[in-house]
Amino acid sequence: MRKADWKKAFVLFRNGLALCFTWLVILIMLSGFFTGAVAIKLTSLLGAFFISFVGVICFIVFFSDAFIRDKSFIFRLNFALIVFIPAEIFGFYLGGFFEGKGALSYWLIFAGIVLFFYSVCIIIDKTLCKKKGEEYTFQLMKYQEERKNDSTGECK
Amino acid sequence: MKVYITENNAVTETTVEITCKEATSEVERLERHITDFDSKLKGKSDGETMYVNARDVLYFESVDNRTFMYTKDNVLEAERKLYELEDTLNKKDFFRCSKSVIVNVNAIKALKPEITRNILATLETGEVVTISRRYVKAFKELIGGEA
Repeated sequence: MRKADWKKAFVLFRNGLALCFTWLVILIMLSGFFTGAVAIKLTSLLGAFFISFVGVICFIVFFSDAFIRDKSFIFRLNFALIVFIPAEIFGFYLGGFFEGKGALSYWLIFAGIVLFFYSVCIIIDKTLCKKKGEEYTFQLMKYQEERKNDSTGECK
Repeated sequence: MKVYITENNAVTETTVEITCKEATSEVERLERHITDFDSKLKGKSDGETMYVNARDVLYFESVDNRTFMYTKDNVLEAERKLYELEDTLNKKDFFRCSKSVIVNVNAIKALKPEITRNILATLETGEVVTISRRYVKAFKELIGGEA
């Protein structure tokens, strides 16, 4: 990897970690506010930090071109989830969100959230693909027109 | 523009020389036109040798070490390998879109990116050719879009 790629990766890591951790802390504070908790547990913050840390690393490794090139979105998404889900579960245990075996309903909610976001990612990507298809076709038509003018002798 | 034909018995190969004040785009077009005049490709169909104009070929495909040329209504086996054709063909009109295919850019009717990052190119005949993701960046550069 080139020096510029490393720099870009570190900038992404710094910004991503700050953004994710801040939002998770805000969510922990909000949940504390609604459940009537008077303080935030250190373990919750540690769990949130761990999840943010692994999540950002997964994002940089799997979704930027710094480490993986020429791979499809599905490939990147699948591998990011394979790495991130166990780390997320560990982070939930570390933060005290999950305890012991946990209730089936918790696990189902967790699986539901993962599947929901997975589907959302695919729908967004499909929509973007469609839009890009229109752009590429338009660009191609323009190019073909230019080539036609070139070979028929029309002046531009 | 003046056109002269000079006959000379000592000449073994016909040569066309353009004499101009400056190589303008018009002169370059003329040069291309003269070059294209002889750029017919030799192919075989049902044992019969045929010549096709490069611009009539929709795409070239290499299958089991044999190269095929697909026109609107014919499939011919080319005598040259895909890499040889790639060197010969005009790079503005023909694009190597995967390991085994060279597509005529002017024959593409629509483009559709896939979730796998390949691009599906629909040709005039309705046939679909895949632009492999390894070649997508170069293709976007060719048609002038973002890379």
